[in-house]
Amino acid sequence: MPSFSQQITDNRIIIVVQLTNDGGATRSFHALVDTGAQITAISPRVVNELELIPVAQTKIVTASEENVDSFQYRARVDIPIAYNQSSSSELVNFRMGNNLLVAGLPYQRNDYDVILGMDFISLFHITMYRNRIILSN
Amino acid sequence: MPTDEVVAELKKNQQAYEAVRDQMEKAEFGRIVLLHDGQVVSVYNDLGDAYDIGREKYGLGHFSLHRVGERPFDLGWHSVDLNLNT
Repeated sequence: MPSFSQQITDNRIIIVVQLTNDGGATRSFHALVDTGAQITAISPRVVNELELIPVAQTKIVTASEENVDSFQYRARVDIPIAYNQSSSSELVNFRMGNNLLVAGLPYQRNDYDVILGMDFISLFHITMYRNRIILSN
Repeated sequence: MPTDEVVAELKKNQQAYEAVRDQMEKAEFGRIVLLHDGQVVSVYNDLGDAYDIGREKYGLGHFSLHRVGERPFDLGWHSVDLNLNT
């Protein structure tokens, strides 16, 4: 089964993802895997680098239960998954993901640019074991 | 960041959606509404279809989408971050 494995560091799961815009431009960003987030969200840096144009408006609940307006953008989100080709026994890298409506965060973080929410995570099998995360499809 | 023109289109379409929200939520719950220039154009079952048609007919920045019945999203811990940063 195609899978992707990575060490969990500081009790956080941060992986590298690729985002692709409508015109096919692709950039890599650090992403936090966050099962507490309902949807995937991106920083202003992602919006600027991929020159994304909003296609929807939504609201995000804040801790004080006031809603914050957020633009939503269409982008393809992919994670690196390698699989063992049965014919050659070689590891082949390819990308696996989906087109999503991602929400724009109103602020920039230094440690990651993408929050992978449940709309994306739920597409995969996730195993966490001995401080490693394994994502497979 | 989005241009003023794109933001104006989104706001105009949002107002158009708010005007029909109640009837949409009764009749089209869960479906995707395509809006352009302050008008509801059509309603689709699939987000990708609505996006592709909107892009082809009007071009990016000149249409918007709305999922009928969508509620504000919870970003978990980041909801606290939003409080601190907005």
